[in-house]
Amino acid sequence: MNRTSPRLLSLGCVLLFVFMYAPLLVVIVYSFTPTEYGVSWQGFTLKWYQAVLANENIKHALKVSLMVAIPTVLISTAIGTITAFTLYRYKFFGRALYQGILYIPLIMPDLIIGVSLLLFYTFLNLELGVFTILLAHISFSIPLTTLVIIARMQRIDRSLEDAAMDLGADEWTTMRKVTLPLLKPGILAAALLAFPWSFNDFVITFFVSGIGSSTLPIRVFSMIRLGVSPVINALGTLIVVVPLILVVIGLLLERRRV
Amino acid sequence: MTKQDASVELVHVVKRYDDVVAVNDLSLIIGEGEFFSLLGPSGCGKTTTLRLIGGLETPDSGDIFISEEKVNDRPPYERSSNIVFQNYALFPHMTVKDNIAFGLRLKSRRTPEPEVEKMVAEALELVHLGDFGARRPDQLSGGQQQRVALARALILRPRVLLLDEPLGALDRKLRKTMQIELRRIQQEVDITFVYVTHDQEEAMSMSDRVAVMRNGNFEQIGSPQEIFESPRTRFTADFMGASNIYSGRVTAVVGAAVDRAPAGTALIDTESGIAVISHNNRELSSGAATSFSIRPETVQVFPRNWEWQADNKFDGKIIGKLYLGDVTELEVNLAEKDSIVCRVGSRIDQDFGFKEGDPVSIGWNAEDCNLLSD
Repeated sequence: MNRTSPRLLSLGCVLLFVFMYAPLLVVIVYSFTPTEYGVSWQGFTLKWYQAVLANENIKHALKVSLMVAIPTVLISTAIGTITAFTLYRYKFFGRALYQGILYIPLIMPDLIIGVSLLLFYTFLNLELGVFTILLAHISFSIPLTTLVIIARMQRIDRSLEDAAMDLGADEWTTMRKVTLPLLKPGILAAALLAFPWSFNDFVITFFVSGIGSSTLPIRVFSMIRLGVSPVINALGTLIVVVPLILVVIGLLLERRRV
Repeated sequence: MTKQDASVELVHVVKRYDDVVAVNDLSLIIGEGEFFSLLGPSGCGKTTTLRLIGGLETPDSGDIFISEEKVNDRPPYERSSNIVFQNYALFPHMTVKDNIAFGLRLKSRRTPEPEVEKMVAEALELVHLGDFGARRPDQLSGGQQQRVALARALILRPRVLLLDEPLGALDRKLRKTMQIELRRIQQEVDITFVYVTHDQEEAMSMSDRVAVMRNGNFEQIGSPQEIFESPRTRFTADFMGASNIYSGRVTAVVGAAVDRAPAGTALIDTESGIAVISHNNRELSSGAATSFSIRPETVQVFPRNWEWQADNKFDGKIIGKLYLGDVTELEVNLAEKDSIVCRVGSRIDQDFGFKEGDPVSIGWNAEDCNLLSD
């Protein structure tokens, strides 16, 4: 038992890595090879990256993605901080229910969220575009940021705030000088997780984007429909590597102890 | 105590948490400059009482005064009291110096920075932590953190310093040192200390007065000596470590019918069937149920045929012996049904050569019987 299970475990790890990262590796390798449809390595090139940077459609889509992701990060982190603070600090009617509801968007299929948001925005007579994408992204990011910040908040010793008040700080000063600084790693982690959460979203965005305002994932999808070009490999590599770095930083910050 | 020198006053203070009454109708006056301890087992309401004075809890009814000013509705940041928390509650994101200067630098105090520097240096000196200003709390030992917490509270010159089991997390030796240290600091700064602890030795060694608490009530308030030597209730006697507590019934009072008893005494038959002469400061009447305690160090032990006198004298056998260093505890059976713990100097024990099974005669005087109510 104790001799075989580590072997099984390591086999599992190897399989996980193969199935997770081998396809990514293929994309990355092909993004540097000059042949357009070949499957064999034919030397090193950066021309597909140049093609990515020269493509106006891609640049526009990237702009839309950032126009959505950056405000999403700022707004959902701010609202998440306030929500977390309220949920954790104050007792009010329906608190447990509210906290439970927070988890629902995280487990509900994107398809359902996308359809319901589309129906809702149409019902409100909103014109589909960058604004509706932004609204949708803020909506589904708030549960994420709130839960990350609550997790951090639970590690803060309540008596630190008692101590600050006892030493003469009023509620607002206590929040500013003690609570927020201690919460900072959690807030940063929430922001760094919310960014790729928004930047990578395809399904929900697909429903609420309308015509002419595609984000990067939507643009990639429409390019693939015309055939897989190495340009997509290069773009894919960029899309994978940049948010990955952000997520890793986010997790490291979250893990750092108080 | 006159009202003029009251530092903290509680008047019929009640605090409930949902259905649980944490503090039940407490009234108390703590004098200016007094070292006052709240002593009791966990859950007795001592910490709640402290938090009520500090303003971290608000009373459901009753009034709280600090220096004769009613502070019921004052938030903690508007009270002239400061707390040293059980876990120290040092701000982990600040250096020791910034922790200590926290209160001084707040807008409400507006202390100029050179003044802050000077006061922090003095405070660090007071708690013997001169060179530690630049460190972070997690780089300090428990004892050092405790000193920082103390300095941080004292630097604001509160009228009252509230200490919530501040030595609880320290090891025994360090605790002893800090007890002496705390007492020194208290006398140096001349501030009222209200000290919460569950350790009776700690309360006794430092306090001017001690309040023993139980279920949100004061069981007894008095000097350490009073509480130690004359506990009024069974609970206090037990909590103060009295091991000899007996229940019985009064069979006669005053010297009238009992020739060997002086006036002002009562004759009590215990449940285990021993007739005991006790002084009667409770005005007990004949037939009343009562209980009493005898401190182990007031019980004398001699070999069986030794010539000596005591109001209460019994024969017994040593059934247990515990060497405690400078003293030795002997447990002696009484009338085959009960036992009594005697504490004698280890030198005396060695001189007599007491062993388990030895026949001895033990005894104590009427005034060493301390009558208890339940």
